[in-house]
Order: sequence, then structure tokens, then C-alpha cells
Amino acid sequence: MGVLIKDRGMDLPSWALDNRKRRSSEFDGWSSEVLHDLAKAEIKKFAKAIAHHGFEHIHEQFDQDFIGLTILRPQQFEILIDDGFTQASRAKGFTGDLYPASRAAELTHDLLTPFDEGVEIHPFVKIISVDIRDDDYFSTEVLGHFSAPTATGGRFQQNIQWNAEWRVRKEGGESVVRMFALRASFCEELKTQAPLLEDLTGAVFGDMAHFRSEYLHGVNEYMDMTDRLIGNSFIGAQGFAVGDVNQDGRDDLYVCQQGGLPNRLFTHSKDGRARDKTQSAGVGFLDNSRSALFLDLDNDGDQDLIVAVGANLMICWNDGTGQFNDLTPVQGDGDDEIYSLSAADIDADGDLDLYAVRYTAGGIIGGVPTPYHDANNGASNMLWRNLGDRKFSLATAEVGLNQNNSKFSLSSLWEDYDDDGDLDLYVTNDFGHNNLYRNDGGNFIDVAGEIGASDLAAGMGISAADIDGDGDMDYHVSNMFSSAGRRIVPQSDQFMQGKQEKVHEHYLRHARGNTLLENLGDGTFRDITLDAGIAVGGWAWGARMGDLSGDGLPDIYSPNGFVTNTDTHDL
Amino acid sequence: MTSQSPAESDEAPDEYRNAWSSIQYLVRYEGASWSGRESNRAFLNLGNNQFADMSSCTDAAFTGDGRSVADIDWDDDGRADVLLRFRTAPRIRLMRGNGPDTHWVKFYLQGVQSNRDAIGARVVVQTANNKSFTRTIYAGESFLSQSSKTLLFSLGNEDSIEQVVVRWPGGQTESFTGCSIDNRYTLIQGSGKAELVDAQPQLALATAARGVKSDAARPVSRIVLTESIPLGPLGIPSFENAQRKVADLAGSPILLNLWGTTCASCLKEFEGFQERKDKIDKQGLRIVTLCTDPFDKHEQAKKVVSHFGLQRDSGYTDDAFMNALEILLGEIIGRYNGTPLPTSLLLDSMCNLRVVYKGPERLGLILRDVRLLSTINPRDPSGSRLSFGRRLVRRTRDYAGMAELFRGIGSTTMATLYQQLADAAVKSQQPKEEKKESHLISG
Repeated sequence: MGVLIKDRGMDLPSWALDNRKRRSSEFDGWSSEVLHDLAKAEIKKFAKAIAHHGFEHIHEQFDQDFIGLTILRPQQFEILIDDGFTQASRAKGFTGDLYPASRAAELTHDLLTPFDEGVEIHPFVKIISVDIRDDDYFSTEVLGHFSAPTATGGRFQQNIQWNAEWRVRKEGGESVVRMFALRASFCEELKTQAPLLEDLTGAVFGDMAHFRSEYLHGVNEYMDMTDRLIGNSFIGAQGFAVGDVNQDGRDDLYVCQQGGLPNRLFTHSKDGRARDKTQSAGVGFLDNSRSALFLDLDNDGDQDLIVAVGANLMICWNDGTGQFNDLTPVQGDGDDEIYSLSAADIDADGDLDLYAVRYTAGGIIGGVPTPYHDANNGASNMLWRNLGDRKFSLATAEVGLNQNNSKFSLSSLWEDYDDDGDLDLYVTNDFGHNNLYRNDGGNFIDVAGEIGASDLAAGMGISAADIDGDGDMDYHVSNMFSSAGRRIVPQSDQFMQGKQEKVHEHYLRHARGNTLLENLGDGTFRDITLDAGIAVGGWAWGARMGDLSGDGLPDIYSPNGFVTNTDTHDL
Repeated sequence: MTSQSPAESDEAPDEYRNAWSSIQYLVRYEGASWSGRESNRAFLNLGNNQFADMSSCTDAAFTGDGRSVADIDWDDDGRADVLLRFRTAPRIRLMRGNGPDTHWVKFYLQGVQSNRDAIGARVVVQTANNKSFTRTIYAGESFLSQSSKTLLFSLGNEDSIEQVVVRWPGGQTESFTGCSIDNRYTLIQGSGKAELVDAQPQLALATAARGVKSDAARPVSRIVLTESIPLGPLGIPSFENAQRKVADLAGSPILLNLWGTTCASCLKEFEGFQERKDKIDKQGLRIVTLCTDPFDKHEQAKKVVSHFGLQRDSGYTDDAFMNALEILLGEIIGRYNGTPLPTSLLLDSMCNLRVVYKGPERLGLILRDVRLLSTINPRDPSGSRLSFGRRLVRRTRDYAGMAELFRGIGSTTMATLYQQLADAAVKSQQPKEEKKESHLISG
């Protein structure tokens, strides 16, 4: 199929053409980025050689003046968990002693000691910081893991942290980077008797014809196949809601879809499969709807459906059988589009009130977050009070939720953090401080800053759980981990042209990754992210804490990634 | 980009604003990835506020653009399952908890004075060993996501429950005794008694794990217009009449089929048209083939269409037509990114554009669309019935913008038509002062 006429190529302004060039790491003159790209290729090659048992040739990757490598896996391990199903242990006794290249085969071989014979080992390494020491010499922090199945169908993962030093040499006019030294500082091993999760998607959804056409294609593929009038969506921000719509004791599922594809109601049948009830239930809305909730809003014993559409809500009343024939539109404020929804009974009158967070005011270009590290030009969030009789009214300002209410909000959670019997509201904001609105008798005050919960970063998602079993609820905030940000910002003479150094720490913080806030039980929080070792993920969205390992302690699952496109080279 | 942000001011300088625009442009229109191909991560709670990356031990370290997580126990086995949402395909996944068979207890709460869903209820399970497990019922968490309101407590090796304390929303505290491990209970506010709930029947089918892969095939070529666009004055020259307009063919549904003499899939489509001529005629569909080749190929083109019996309404595209197509697809999709061959436009009998097929489309589907067209009023605002589903928000075409573009290419009749539609829309909006994009269509 040939292309008939090509894009006539919108006339791009010069700034856009310049920015196009910026895709090359050399353009901006961030020396760390050029060196990073070179070292990244080398460290990947190194890890791959280990995973593929290429120990004997590994020294060929070293610089001619290679000064040595440490033991990568000391023999002593401290057992952290062993419940018969899951084992976790950490190596002790890294001495820092360097051994010559002639020992490299043996030391890399030793790293793989715990892997079963004949399994395929998957390497993953990532450079998280670059330290330029000299014109021809720099060092990098490397994080990663080696993983493989076990011979008995279990899973094994070995987490490593290395410091790798590199020499830069000119060879035929090109810069060439080779490993100069390698120091291991961390080795942690996890083993489970079986994979902790198992994919049921095909068994549960796979038999529905439209599942293939609507769910086995990504946002990109549908973008160009949809009338933009229905609300195109590019970033793929569509969620789902769980609730029992037909009162059979099994949770059903409502899935929001990008504009042009119908949202779907999947009921949960006795045989375990999902059934598509969209048409008979009357809830196959085509608009770009980002989120929904199942709640009994009129306390009549069935699950009503709330769908966020644009700045408004459509409330679909359940007739008790899983049909939604009565619809009540609830108008929001202005035109800015709703992202996440949440609900709580804020006035203790026995019915649920609704809260919606919003992101940009006036579209993404109109609403460029400014200043980046703590933007206050986002859209406002909204609270609707449930008046009973299926009536709702906006009460955002009336209850004090209009404070700090012009951020780029993405999610919210109602939890009683101070254990005083009423629900407080945590709101995550991209580009800056989060809000924690304390509920003082139905009036809300943003206390995030004063109690250590504001987590200035790129807040995306929120989860709460009691991670330490002390009875109070801790928060996990999904943020962005950016290796690039962590590499660029420390070059303070160059970043922001060397100006405004005081905000550099904010920028570094923006790139730190996910955050874990420990509730200290006295109404304040402590950021335990770095000790807990949970920061490094990726571009995280809606991480959630829940027990995956069956020991009663909440674990963390963090979905990552912004936009995967046709181009494999990342911006 | 970030390095161009002002440190304190909330005034965005041009360079910063432009950097945002161009990064968007690169990602949206030039296929650039931006933190793409990342994998989802999982961290094991080791106790003492320590965690370890255990992504590979979950079999859920999927690569793509992850978005949300919801908690659900789909197979009712007391091990938490997770629903996952992605931007990339598969857009949804259900992952069954496959960890150790440790103890658990599950509660369905029902508020009486408090809200019926007991959103905000705090539940503490105290075991005989004096350990406690605390959870709250939420409505909305993670990102864009709502988890199950059923509280599943994973108890590890704790094998005896002392009591369950519920603090209902509103503050009232109630304790329930007599709960045993590995069971399900309903806790009704004020009842003081935990009622045992039967297990769901074992889900034979769902116990056979089966994953899914994204579908490599092109998803659709069919773009249904949510609001039709009138094309009456559009020139579609025929081999006999260079001045032919779409309006000259009014009265029956029309398929404008763009093809080329060297396009194999176009000829294959012609074969289909020929084979099913009876069906096409029966539904009154007029197939208007438009050759996109240069003039010197027109003699050959005429032979080809005659060969397939499609000569009656056949014609060709000129520059004016291709420019018009570019404007139309820009309005419909939001950008113009080239037109494949074949491309077809389905018009209703009143010359309104209703469906665009980019690439070859099954004739059966086109004929189904023709049947549906005859049942839909083109002015019906909820008229998305060509696609499955219904619209909630009324958004309107940018007829003023289209008028300007058509003026720009010298197509006065099209420009005049769209200007009239734009003016009419403004007039009808004025008295109501309606917000343009946020009017919800109820029912």
C-alpha cells in the first residue's frame, strides 16, 4: 500500500526545528549526556557478556590501563526473608579491594553462582549518575539486575549496584569509552517458588471478539483512526472501576477508553470469564473518559456508575439489575478536563460526596507549567456535595478545598492519616508540591508542608497502606525517576546557564523517583524513600501498595513508562 | 526544556513555552518515544521499612506504558489479583495472585447510618498472636483507578483471629468476633455479628492461565465521523465531465474510491466490487472510482475501470480534490499524515461525508455501514451509531477554520458553504451562552 500524497510538512518555526535537533545528545552540549550514551553501550555490552557466560573474553572490553575490579558477589549473605516461598538476602563484606583483569573471568563467573544451570539470564543495567573527573576520565553509578527462571519453575532476581570508571580515548577522530575500573557495592538476591503473578487476561477476556480489536491495540494505533471531535487522547490516561453491578457477589469491571472507542462494562460470570454487557447496560460512551467510580450514591443498595467526561460527571443510576437507564449530568466548573475521581462522605450525612482532580488549564500548550519545579498555573480540582435526592452541588470553596488549588493534579486519596475519625485528602500534583488537606470538622486545611508530606516532585499516583504494621497509614507517591535529570542537573555551571542554583535541588528532587512517606503516628510524616530503596522505577503513574507475596506486608507494584512510539530512540 | 523554566516567576518565557510545544510535536507527530519501553516494577516489603526490587519474580514486569493498578480477588481464592492498565497494547491485563497459600480473611462491609459502601471505613484485624492488620476502604486511588471495595486481608502465617474492629465512617467503632481464617464475612453496621459468606464456585476456566499479546495487525481502517461533513460542492471530475460535483450524484449513498493503476490492493478491491455488484446495486450504493494517477495514465485507467464494470461513475482526482481531502482529514483526525491507496469516502444520499476508510476495507463492512446510514438522521447529535456506543459531549466542527482553509486553496463554493455553517452555529449558540465544549447530552 503506497502513500499517495505525503504530509506537506507543516511549516515549522525555527525554534521547533532547533528542538528537533535536540534529540541528539550532542546538541545541547551536555557533556554528561554524550559520555553517558557511550558508557551505556559499554555497560550493556558488559552485562550481556556476563549473562551469556562470555566470561573468558570479558577482559577484552577493558581499557588498556584497566586498574581492576572488585569481587562482584561476596560469599557472605544476610538472609532478610525466608518463608519457604520467598527468600531475600543481601551480600555482606564488600571490601573494595581491586583485582587485575586476569581475574575478571572468575569474578564475573562467581556473580552467577546462584543461577540454575542452563537457564536464560536476562540482564538489565542503567546508569543513574555521571561524574566527570577529567577530560578523559569519568565515573558512573550503575543500577541493575540479572534475572532468570529457576530450574523448578520459580523466579530468581539478583539486584546489583556498581560504580564503573571509564577512560575516554580518541580513536580515528571518534571518542571511545572503555571500562577503567569496576567496584561493586551491593548485591541482593530474591527467589520465589513460583512467579508471584500469573497472566489470566486471555482466559478471562480473550474470547470476546471486540477485545482483540479494542484492547490489543495501543493508543497510537487508534489515534489516527478516530474523529477528533470525540476527544482524542494521546497520553493514554484512561483508568477503570471495580464494583459488583448485578449483586451476584462478584466484582465487575468498567473500563474507560480513549475517545472513539466505547467504554466497556465487563461483568464477571460464574465460570470466571468476563462478559460484555456494555450494550444492554447502556454505558458504552464513546467520549474520551478518563476515570469512573462504582458507588451507591443514593444508598439504595446497588452500584451506580460515575463517569468523568470533560469537566463534568455523568451519573448513571443502577436500577438494581445492572442496567443504567437513568442518567444525571452533573456540571463542573469551566472546561478543564477531569483526570482521577474519588469519593468520601465529607459531611458525615451518610451519603458520598465526589472529588475530581484536573490537570491543565486551557490545554497543555496553553497551560505550560510555570515555574516547572512548583507550578501554580494548573486547573482547579472540584468537590461536589451529595445533597440527596440525586442532586449534587459544587462545594469546593465552601469546605476550604480551594486552597492551593491551581496545581497540575493527577490523583487523590481519602484516608484518615491522623487517626482522628474523619477522612483527610491527599492530592498528587505534577510539577511541584502535593496537597494534604486535613479534615477539621468538615473544613479542610492544606497541611502538607508543615507535616512533611508535600513531596515536591512530579506527583502522578497515590496509594496508602500500613507498611510497617503499626496501625497508621503510610503513603506511597508515584513520581518520575529520570536518570537524565539526575545526570544533567548536577552540572550546575551549565544547567539553567548556571543561574538560579537554589532551585537546582528541587529539580534533582523531581528526578528522584517514587516516594514513601512513613506515618510517624503523631500527625507527621518522614520521607523514608532512600532507606526503603523504592525510588528507582521509571516514569511512574499509579503505583499501588498491596500484598503480592502473601506475608501480610504490603508490597509495591509500580506501572511505568510515558510514551512508547515507533521510534526506539528515546528523547 | 525544564532548564528553560523561570525559577520563580509564573510567566513562561518563549523559549520555555516553545520547548514544550516542540517536545509535544516530536512525540505526537514525529514518532519520538519519551520514556518509552520502560518496564513495570514491583518491590517486596522486607519489613523494617526496607524493600527490594522483585520485578522479575512477579512475571508482571511488562514493558510498555503502564498506567494504573486496581486490587481485586477475581478468582476468590484469598490471594490478591491485580488489574493493570496500559497505554500500549494489551491495554488491560488481569494478573492472578500466584504466591504462597498463606492465610487470609475477606470482608464485605455494609454501612447503615454510614454510607452504604462504607467508603472510609477503617478495619483492623487482630490475631491471637496480638498482630494487627489495618486497611481502609477507598473509592479512587492509584491513578484513574478504583479497586474492589471488598477488603481482603492477607494474614501470612497468622492462623487465628481474635477480633475485627471496624471504625465506620463518621467515627463509630464496632467490634466483630467469631471470624476465622480463610473465610469471607459480611459486616453490617450495628449488627455486631459477622455473617459467613459462601465461597464463589471454583472458577475452572479462569484457573487455566492464558495471557494475551498485542495484535500486530493494523487495528482498523474505518474512521466514523461523529458529526458528518457536507461535501455537495466538492468537485469530483469524471472522464466525461470535468465540472462534476458531489451534489450531482445526490439521492443515493456514494462511495468515493481513490485508486491508482499500480496499486494492487486497489485492483483487488475492484474485484470485490465486481463480484458483489448485485448486492451493491440492491443497496443503491454508487461506487465512484477516482483515479489518482496523472493525466497521461487516464486512458489506461478507463480501461481498468471498464474491465471491472465500474466505468459508469468513474473519474479522477485533481489538485483541488487532493487539497480538499487534506483539509477534510485534517479536520477529522486532527492532522494530515498522508493518504494510503486505496482510500474511500462513504457519503450518505444527502452528500454528507460519514465514514472514511483508509486502506482496503471489507466490502461486507462497507455495505453494513450503508444499511446503517439509511436508518440514521444525519442531524441527530447522538448519531454515533455507525460505531458502537453513544456520545455524551456535543462538540462541533470547526467550520470557520475549514472555510478559511478552503478560501486559501481558492475553493470558493466549499468556503461559502462552511462559512454559512459556522455563522449558523454562532447564531444558535448566542442566546444560550452555552459553554462550547462541555455541554452534556443527557439520555
